[in-house]
Amino acid sequence: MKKKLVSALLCTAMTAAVLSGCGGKSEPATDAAQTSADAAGAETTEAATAAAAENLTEFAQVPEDVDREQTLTFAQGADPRGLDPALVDDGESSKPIVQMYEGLTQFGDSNTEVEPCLAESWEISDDGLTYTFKLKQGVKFHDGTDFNAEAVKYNIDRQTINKTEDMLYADFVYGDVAECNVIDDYTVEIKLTKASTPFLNNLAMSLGAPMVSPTACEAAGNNLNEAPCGTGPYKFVRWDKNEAVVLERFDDYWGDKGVSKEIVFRTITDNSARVVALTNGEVDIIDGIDANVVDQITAAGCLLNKTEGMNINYLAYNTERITDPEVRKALSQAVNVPELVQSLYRGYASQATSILPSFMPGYSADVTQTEYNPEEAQKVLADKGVTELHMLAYTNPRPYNTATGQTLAEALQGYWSKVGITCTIDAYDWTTYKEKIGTGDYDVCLYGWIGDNGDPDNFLNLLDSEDIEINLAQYHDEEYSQMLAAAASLPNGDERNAAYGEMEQKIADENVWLPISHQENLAAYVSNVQNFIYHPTGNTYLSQTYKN
Amino acid sequence: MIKYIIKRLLLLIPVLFGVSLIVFFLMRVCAPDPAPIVLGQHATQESMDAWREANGLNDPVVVQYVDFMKGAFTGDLGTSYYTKAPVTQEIMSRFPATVELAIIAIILASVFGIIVGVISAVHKNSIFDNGGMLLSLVGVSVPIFWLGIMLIILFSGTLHWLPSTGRVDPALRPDTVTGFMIIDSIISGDTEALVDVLRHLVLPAVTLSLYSMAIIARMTRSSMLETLNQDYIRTARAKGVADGKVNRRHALRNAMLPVSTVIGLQLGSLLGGAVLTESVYSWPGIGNYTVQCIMKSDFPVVQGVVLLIAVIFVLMNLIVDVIYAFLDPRIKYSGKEA
Repeated sequence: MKKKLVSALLCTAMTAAVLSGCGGKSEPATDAAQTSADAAGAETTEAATAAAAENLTEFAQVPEDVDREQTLTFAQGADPRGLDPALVDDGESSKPIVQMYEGLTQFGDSNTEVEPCLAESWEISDDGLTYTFKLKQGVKFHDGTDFNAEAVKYNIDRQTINKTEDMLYADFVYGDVAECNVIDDYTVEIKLTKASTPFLNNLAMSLGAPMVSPTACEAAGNNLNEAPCGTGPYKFVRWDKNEAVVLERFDDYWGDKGVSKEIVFRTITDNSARVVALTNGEVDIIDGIDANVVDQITAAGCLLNKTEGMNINYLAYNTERITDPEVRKALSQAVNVPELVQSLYRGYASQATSILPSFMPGYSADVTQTEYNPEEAQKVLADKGVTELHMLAYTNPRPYNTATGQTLAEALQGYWSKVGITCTIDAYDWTTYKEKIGTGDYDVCLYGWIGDNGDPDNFLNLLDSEDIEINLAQYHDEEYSQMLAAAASLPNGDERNAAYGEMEQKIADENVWLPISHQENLAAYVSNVQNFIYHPTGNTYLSQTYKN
Repeated sequence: MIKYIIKRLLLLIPVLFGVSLIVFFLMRVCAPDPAPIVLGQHATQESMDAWREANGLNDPVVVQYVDFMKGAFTGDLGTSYYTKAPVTQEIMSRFPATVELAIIAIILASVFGIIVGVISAVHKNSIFDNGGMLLSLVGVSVPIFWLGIMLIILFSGTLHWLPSTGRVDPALRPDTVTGFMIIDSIISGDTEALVDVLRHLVLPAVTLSLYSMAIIARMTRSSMLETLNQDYIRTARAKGVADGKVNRRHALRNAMLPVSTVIGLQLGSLLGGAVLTESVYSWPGIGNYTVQCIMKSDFPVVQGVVLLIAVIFVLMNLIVDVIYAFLDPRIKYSGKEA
C-alpha cells in the first residue's frame, strides 16, 4: 500500500514536473516572443526602413576585392519541376533557369521594361508584323557551341512548328509567330500574324522564351529538364532531387561574370524550417515568407526584402447579372478598401489603385477608383431595391491573396451588411471553385491574376476574353475591345501607356472590377548579402549578388 | 520452410492486386483532374483534351487499369505526368534516403525502447517504470509534425547545434555510389562529409524513432513482465542464478520474441515513407515525394509508390515470421500449417 502510494505520488510529481517543464519552457518562450515582438515593433520600422533603403532599383558595381570563390545558397519551398524553360511553368524552376539561360530581350533590373540581351538591337516594320533582330556576337552556350541565328530559329521552331503538348508557354510566348527566318549568321527575322508589341516582353520571359543550345537539346531527346544548357552566367552542375540544384559560374560568359563561384537552390518545403535554416546560417536567401515569421527573421538580424508583386487581387461584378453601373458603383462605395487591405494583409500587400501594379509600363497614378462612401451607397442601393448578393469565393490562400478567399469574402460581406445588403457566400476549394465559376452562377466573385510578361496588355486583356474563367466579370464591350486591340500594336512609349491609362479609367468608371490589392514579393536574406534584387516577376537574378 | 516462404510469396499476388485496385480507383475518383495541373495556367481546352487522350485518361477506367497492370507486371510503372521521367527511376532515386533514415530510426528506437522496457519491467512500479512509461505515453501521443518543428527551433534555431533540414550540405555531398549517404561518404573516405551526414540525420531520426521507441518500450515491458512470472524464471532464481543473469539470459531472450515482431512491423511502416517527418525536415525520400505527387494528381507515381510500400510491408511481415523460427526453435513452419 505504502509502495503504491509512493509510486502514485511520484507519478503525480513527475507529471507535474513534465507539465510544468513544458509550461516553464513555453513561458520564457512566450516572454521571449513577446520581447522580440516588442523589440521587433520598434525594430520592424527600423528594419523595414533599412530593408527599404536596401531595395535597389538596379544592380550596383561589384567591388574588386570581393570573394569570388563563395557559394550563395537560396532556399525555396518546392523542388523545380524541370530545368528546360520550354517544359515548365513554376516559379521554383524559373529561379534556377534565369541563372542559366537568357532570351533575346530581358527585363530591367527592377521593372518590366524591355532591354536588349542576346539581341543587340531590333527593328520593327511599319505594319508591326516583321521583327528583325541583330544578335550579339561571340556568345557561347555552356556546351561550347555558338549562339547564332540558326540557334534562334531552332528555338522558335521548337515551340511553334515542332511544338509538343507539354510546351506550356509556347502559345503564350510565340502564339503570334508566323515564321522565323535566318537572314545571316547574326540576323534573324521573325514574322508575326498580327502586330503585337507585347511580343518583345514575351521574349524577355523566364519561361518559354530563353534560348537553349540546339546541340544539347537534340542530344537530350528534346527535353533539357535534367540537362539544362543555355548561355547564362551560371551553368548546371547537378540536381539532387528534392534537395538541391547546384550551379557553377560559367567562365566563358559574354557579359559581367557571376560573382559567386557556385549558386545552390535548396528545397526546404516547410515554411518554419526554411526560416530556421536562414537564421541558423545554413542558407543565405529565402522566399515564400508569410507575415507571421517576419518578426522572427528581423529579430535574428536578417533583412527583409519587400517589393510590389506583378499581380492583382480583385472582386469581379458579374456584369450580365448586375447590369446597372450605378448599383456596381454603390457596392464599391460600400467597401473601405484601404482599411480592408491593411487589416487583412498586415502591410504585406499594397492597395490597388488601378489594375496594373505601379512598376509596370502603362500604370497611371491619375487613375481613380470609386471612393468609400457608405451613406451614398446605402441610399442608392435602397432606391434601386437591391438587398441580396450571391458571392462565389475560394477557401484557400492564393499568391495574390494570402489571407484566403473566404476571409476576404467575409470582410466584404461585413461591409455590405452595413449598407443593408445580405451577401450569401459560397466558398469552395480552388479546383471546385473554378468549375463553379464556369457555370456563371454568381453576382460577384473573387479572383486574381499573376502577370506573365510585364506588359499592360497581359492584365487588361483579361476583360476582353470570351472565356468566363478569365473574364469573370463577363464584360463584353465593343469600345473596350477596340481600344485594347489598338493599344496592343502601338510601339512602346508614352502614347501606348496613355492608351492603357484610358482603358483603366473606363473600367474604374463603369465599376466592372473592385481592385483590392497587389500582394508583395517577400524575400529574406542574411545581413551580409549584397546587391540583391527581388524582381517583380518573382525571379531573382543572382549573378551580381554576393556576400561580404 | 521453403515451401512456407513460397506460399507466403504467392500470397503477395492477391495483396498487390487488391492494393493496386484500391489506389487506382481511389486516385481516379477523389483526386482532381491532372490535365490542368500538368499543363498549367495557359492550357487550352484542346491541349487538355489532347493530353488526356495521349495519357489514356479518356479510356474507360477498367481499360486504364488493365493497361497499368500489364505494365506493372513487366516492371514498367509508367512515367510521371509532371516530370515525364519513368516512375521507377523517380522512386529509386529517392528510396535510399528513406531506407537510410528508417534504418537509423529503427536502430535508435530498438536500442532505447528495449532498454526502457527492460528497466521498467525489472523495476516494476518504481520511479524508472513510471518515468519510462510516461515517456512512452508521450512518445505515442505527441504529434510528429509539432515535435519536428520544435526540435528544429530548439536545436537549429536557438542552440545552433544541428542543421535544420536536408540530408547533407550540398558542398560536402559525396559522389553517389549506393545512394546511402553514410556508406557513400565512407567509400569516398571523406570524414567531414560523414560527420555532416550524421549531423543531418540526428533530428529526423530522433523524431521518427520516438513513436516506434514508445511502442517497442511498452511491448518489451509487458512481454518481459509476463516472462518474469514464468515458472522457469522462479526455478532459475531458486537455483541461485544471479538476478542480472536471470533477467538477461532467461527472461530477456524469451521476451524478445513478440518484440522482434513489433520491430519488424515498425520498420515496415517506416520504410513505407515517414511522410510527416520527411516533410518537416525536407528529407528527400519517397514519403515527402509522394505527398507532393498526390497534390499534383500524378497518378502513375502514387500508384507505383503505394505498390512498393505494399510489397515492403508484406516482405517485412514474412521476414519477421522467418526470423521467428530461428529465434524460437519451438516454432516450425510447414506448408500445411500456414
